Amino acid sequence: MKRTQLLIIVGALIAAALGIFSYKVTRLGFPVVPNLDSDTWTIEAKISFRGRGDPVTLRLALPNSEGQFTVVDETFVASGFGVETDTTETGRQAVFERRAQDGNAVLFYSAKLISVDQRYSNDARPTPEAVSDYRRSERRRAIEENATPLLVALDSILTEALEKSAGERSFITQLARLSADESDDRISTIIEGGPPEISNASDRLVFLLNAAGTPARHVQGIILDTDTRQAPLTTWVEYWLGETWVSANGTTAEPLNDARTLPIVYDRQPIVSGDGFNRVGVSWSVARNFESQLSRAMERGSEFAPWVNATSLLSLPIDLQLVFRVLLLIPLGALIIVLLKQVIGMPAFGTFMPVLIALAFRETQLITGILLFTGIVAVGLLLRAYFNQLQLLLVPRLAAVLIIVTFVMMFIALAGEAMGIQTGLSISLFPLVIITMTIERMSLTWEEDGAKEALKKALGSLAGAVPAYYILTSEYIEHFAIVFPELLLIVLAIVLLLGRYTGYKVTEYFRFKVLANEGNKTS
Amino acid sequence: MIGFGPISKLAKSGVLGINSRNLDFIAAYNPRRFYPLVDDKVITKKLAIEAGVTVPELYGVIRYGGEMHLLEKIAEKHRSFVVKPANGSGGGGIMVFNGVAKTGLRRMNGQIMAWPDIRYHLNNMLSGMFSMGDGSDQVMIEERLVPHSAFSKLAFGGVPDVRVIVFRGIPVMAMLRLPTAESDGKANLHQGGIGAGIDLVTGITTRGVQHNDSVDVHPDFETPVRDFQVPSWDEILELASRLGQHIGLGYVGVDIVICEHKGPTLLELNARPGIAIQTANLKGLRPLLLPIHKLPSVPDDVHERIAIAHANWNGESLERFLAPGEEMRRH
Repeated sequence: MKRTQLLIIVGALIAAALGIFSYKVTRLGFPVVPNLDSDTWTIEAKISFRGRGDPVTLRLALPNSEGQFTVVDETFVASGFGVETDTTETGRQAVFERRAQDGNAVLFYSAKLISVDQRYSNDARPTPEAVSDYRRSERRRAIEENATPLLVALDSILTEALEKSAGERSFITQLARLSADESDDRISTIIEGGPPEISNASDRLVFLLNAAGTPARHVQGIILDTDTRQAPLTTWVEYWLGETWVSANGTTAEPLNDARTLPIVYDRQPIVSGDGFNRVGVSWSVARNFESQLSRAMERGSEFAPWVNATSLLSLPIDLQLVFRVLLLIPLGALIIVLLKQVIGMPAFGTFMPVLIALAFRETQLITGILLFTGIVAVGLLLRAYFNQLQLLLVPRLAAVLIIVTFVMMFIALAGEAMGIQTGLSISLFPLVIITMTIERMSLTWEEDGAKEALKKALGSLAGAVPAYYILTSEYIEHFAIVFPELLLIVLAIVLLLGRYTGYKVTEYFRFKVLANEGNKTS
Repeated sequence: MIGFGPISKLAKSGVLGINSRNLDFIAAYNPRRFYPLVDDKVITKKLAIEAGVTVPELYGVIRYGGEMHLLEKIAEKHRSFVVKPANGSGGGGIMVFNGVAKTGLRRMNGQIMAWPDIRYHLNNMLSGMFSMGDGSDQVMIEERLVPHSAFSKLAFGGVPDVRVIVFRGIPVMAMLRLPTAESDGKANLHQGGIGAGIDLVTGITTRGVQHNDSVDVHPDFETPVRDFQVPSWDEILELASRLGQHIGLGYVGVDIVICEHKGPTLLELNARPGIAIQTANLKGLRPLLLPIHKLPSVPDDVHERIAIAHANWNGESLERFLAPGEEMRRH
């Protein structure tokens, strides 16, 4: 009877979960796999300079919304300065002005970049014109009129690249290969005879591409890669291929990932210009926002099935979403515990300790987490042993250990900062309490059942925490949990089923091995 | 249940796993409301007296830190006694004293424990450090049981006891637990005590295990642990059966000390008896439990129940114990 009821509940849960899941995936197009490339980014520029007491006009080149990214939420922090943005032929600029500035000043600019899918932007853009004077027909005519060494070398290079290539793209690759070879006499002739900046590889490639009639430009910008406070300004090229500008490596012409390149200025325009200041420095920082790119699915959802959006966590504000990113992993943690305890029979402190430890590791990273954890627990155990000699009562003793652990964590953070090591100890209350409880339980076990048993359980807890850590930090699982929370009903179903599991635990096999072997002998 | 390789071997030998013990026997036969009866040893003692079972004499109960002076009075009067947490589990916190010195009390190993240390230990007990559940506990002070002289060469520095698993009032399996130097005078198996399987019919030990390994002799005395006749065996079975029936728990572990003066005496009851007893007996519990589970009813007379226990141990069919018109249960 109980069994039937349970099976009905389990079946209903699984059916509901799979039903909602498949509707969301097949009908509404919710992505099953997180799209790691198309998150949004925040960039920040910090401009520091020194004024000379004169009026200051400072122009900062800004990224524009024409390319892969749409720039939104721009903010300026510039006390005492007037700020306006300005779009000129050379691009967008922020103009900071002040009547008089003496001494050091710092200005900030920050913006959010949202990657837009080019397939859905229907702005038809005019084909740009190559800016070179050396286009093919003109080149022929020029050579006939006046065969300068530069024109001859140029013609030879372009002809060779054309002969060795099958299409536009391979022509560009061939040209880049030839251009990079400075030992080639023709290239050195071009360097000598051409404009002064083309001793530089990327400028030379742009020059050669333009000469061949392929519009190309030199770009300075930022490669959006990982979160960093010091994003270097990088140089690359863009060429016109097909219908779009393609970002590419300045030496090899290998295309770069468009979703990760943010152009700021073209054709060697300055990042910062103006007058009335000196010692100017600009540093860029980049941070990735884990903001979901599910908006399209959400839009469709609001058309076909409003209830999906109403019940979706993605409609919550972003900070609340972040809370749920952790919260929704708790059911999985509970499942891991059930498996470890009921099916494997792992010895551990407390019921949910391994998962709590794993959640603490989530904030510190695994290796640092294990080191910190064992270190702090060891210190705590020693102190607790000492407090025991002082004959303190249970609750005050626990409180004393808690306070000491707080101090130990504080010192580790301070020492780490002083030595320039990132300890990841930017932690909440959460690991603190977990560590204290572990210390208390461990020392109790130590006293009652001996060191062996205590270490066995400590190792068991850690061993349980490691797989739990990997599951709780997986981007895929996090994506699943927040986009398809209904799948957690399946977790509930499995846990309920395991609640009626009367089979053996894995550890029991080892415990009763003698009996198992005996049973075989007699039968 | 069909399992793969090693697990099916385990199933064939009839081993009872923790999951199955919890669901099929404890959850099914032990109503939650009866747990306090066995978890609180003060209540257990009252029930045992009702059932006509011998128990260690209770000298006093300390409920609050302020009643600590009670201990000094009892120590003066009885000199030899045991302190234990009323809700203790797994033998934690238990201390045995056998004499009074100027500075404190003498422990079994001859050391003097100073009064401040004793008070600290009692305070820890009162704050529930050794107890099941949360919060505070009481400290029981009771008679120290003197083990039967037959055990003088089998128990090191402590009191040996017999654990009997009683199912529906019928003894099912038993083992003798012997303290060793390693277990610090405690009879608990996981602390290094020896467990010896007992033939349920005769009361003669069959084999011994320590730390899950088979042992033939006691490590401290080198006396054989097998083929030892446990004294007063019939009385032990009767005590266990009587109490198991009276307490209202279907599946219970009864711990009995064979006292030199008082004979078999109840030490404590356990509503969640461990499964290590199977290794001590080299026998799975499941084939012994299932026939009893199938009995539609269990006789009220303790001797009839013991007759069932004997037949069950010998693997005989229990059909002949059915009352006229009764049939075995299917599940």
